[in-house]
Amino acid sequence: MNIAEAPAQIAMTLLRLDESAATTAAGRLRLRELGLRPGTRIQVRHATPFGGRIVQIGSRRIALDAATARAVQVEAPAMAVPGHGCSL
Amino acid sequence: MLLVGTPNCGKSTLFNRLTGARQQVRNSPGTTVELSTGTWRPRTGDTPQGWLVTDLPGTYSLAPVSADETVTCQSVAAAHAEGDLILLVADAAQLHGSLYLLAQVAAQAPSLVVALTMCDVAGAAGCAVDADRLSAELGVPVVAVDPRTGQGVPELAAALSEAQRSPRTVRALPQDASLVPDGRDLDAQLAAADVLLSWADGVVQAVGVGQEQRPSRSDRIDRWLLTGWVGVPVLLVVMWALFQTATWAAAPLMDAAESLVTGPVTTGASWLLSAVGLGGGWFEGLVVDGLLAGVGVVAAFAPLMAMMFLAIGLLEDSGYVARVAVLADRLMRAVGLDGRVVMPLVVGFGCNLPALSATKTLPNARQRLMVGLLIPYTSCPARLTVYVLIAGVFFPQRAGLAVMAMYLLSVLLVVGGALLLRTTAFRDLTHEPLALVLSPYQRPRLRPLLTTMVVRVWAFLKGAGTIIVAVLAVVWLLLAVPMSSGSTFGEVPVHDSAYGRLTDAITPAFTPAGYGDWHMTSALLTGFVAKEVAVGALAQSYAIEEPADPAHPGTLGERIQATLESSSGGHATAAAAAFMVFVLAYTPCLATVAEQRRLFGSRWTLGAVAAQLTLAWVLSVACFQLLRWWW
Repeated sequence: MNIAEAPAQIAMTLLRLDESAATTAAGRLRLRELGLRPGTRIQVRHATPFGGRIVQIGSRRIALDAATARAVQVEAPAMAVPGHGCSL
Repeated sequence: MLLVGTPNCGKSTLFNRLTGARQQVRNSPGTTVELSTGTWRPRTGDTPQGWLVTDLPGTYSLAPVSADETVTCQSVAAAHAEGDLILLVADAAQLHGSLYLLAQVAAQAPSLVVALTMCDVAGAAGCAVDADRLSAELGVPVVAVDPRTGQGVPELAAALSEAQRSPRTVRALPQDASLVPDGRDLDAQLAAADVLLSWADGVVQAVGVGQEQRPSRSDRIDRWLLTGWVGVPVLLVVMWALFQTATWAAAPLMDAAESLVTGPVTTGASWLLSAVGLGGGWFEGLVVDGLLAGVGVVAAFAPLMAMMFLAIGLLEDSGYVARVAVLADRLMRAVGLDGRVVMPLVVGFGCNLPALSATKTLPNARQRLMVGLLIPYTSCPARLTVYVLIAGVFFPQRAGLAVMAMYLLSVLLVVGGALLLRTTAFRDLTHEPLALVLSPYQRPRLRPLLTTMVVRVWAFLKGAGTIIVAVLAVVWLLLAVPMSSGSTFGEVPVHDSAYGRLTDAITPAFTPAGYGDWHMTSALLTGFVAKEVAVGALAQSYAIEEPADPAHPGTLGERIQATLESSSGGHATAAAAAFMVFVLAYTPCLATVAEQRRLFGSRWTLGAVAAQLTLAWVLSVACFQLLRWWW
């Protein structure tokens, strides 16, 4: 699923970023540098108007617009159970 | 010494804390990126001559994505060769991201000192950082500092002096020669980024930083401020307050500042000139009406600029500006601009000059420049007085509608201009999707804000103020020089002065627009200096009193009607509409042009002025030629 479909406040694992996440090589590199990289823990904090999401990676909050949120593919960890998901 | 850090890490607050008002703002050579430099003389430590500190634009990485970040990268790259010490400002609340930047910086300039900020925020979030453990891990001095209170600054001074005597380098960096981003292919750069991100992970774990468990205070605030139902109305209120700051709130202070110069200062100057035997003549005219009137105009702008810098500083310091970017992203993305652009554009409808200051909130110099070129098309209240006068005379039944049409055209010009610029001179501004780091909300501290305000107002007065005074003095001189016999210097009817001759020379250009008459040209020429005096100039050209209320122009209205009737060959209404269009689209005022020059340089400003005059003329002529079929 992508992060726009993911439930809020549950820790997910980032699988990959679709090509549509950035239009340029510099943009792709910057997303990686901000911490959006495969294997990292990512959590939706809340939704913003027009379909965007605020996600948390480490202690960093990042605002993503709707298109970028749809390009971030995640999966819930196999051991995810309610309550456990809160700890990053 | 160079200050390097991620955006919103408290770097500029620290810079203000260290240097106080001993700083200046200037553009980095060859760019429109503003750099603050200042002298820091620590009370402790053994550097009596002090440090020359440069506050570099914040960046997440040394692979730049904006003109501002490029300046930072180039400065860091040159630091080692030029013997500059780097003070890396690390955000304790986002330690991982700060370490990533630190590793890239250390690969180029190994000798650095770390100032650890935001320790209170990190502590509240349950991920406090122990500066000593971090120092032991990195091998370089790490000093916890609170730039807002000054806590830790003496220790920082001592650490810097020590580092200068015996530099220490970051140890245990990943042994990869390609840490510094360059133009290699993307996969190699992504791989290098992964190496550094993993290294930063390792340091964070080794230092034993706890992980945040619960939603933070900022999360709880954002739950409301970033929703459609609460966030958007709050955004509108904030924008409204910003607009009011530029208009209603600033007006009494502006009046007070101007009357101080035109009142006591002018009286004092006249008295002084009389005392030394220079009173009464042309010299007093030059000093009082030429120079001091200009100083009065500049003085009036000072409180306006001060209030705008303060308001913008409050929004930036509190962390709200990033939220504006998120909420307005969808709206401004339609024309290819950053969401934060709403702030300067909204302020622009109040006054173009402080709107240029509000571009400071944009992180990319190219965006600031582009918005700075669009701001003149936002219709300010000074232009409104001209619309009200002309619309009242020529569209008495539909004056409100005519004025509204001007505002609609203003919005169209901004949107059209944005689309045009994005596809021509600003193609390099790529259409990146939004991925914006939100810094935690913080209570703004007044002292650093006031320091910034004073420094920036001073820079405005020095940079733009001198041009304004000089040009106003030239205008006075043109008005004073008689061009016909029978008049004496300083006492000459407008049309017989050098200024009148100049209007005569320009007038034929406006014949195709239907208002090729020297009275109208005189108003436009004065309007170039300031739109709010255009109506007065029009009245002066007819040698009648300026009407107290432009909506009831009386004799002035009849004179304008008669003038346009003859200049347009019987299509006075069409000519009036064309005149309003020209007033909307041409250069807003001397102060805005002078400030554009200070911020963006002469080349861009001259180009912008030429483009605005051309566009205004083309639109105005088109308007007249089209409308005269009906009116």
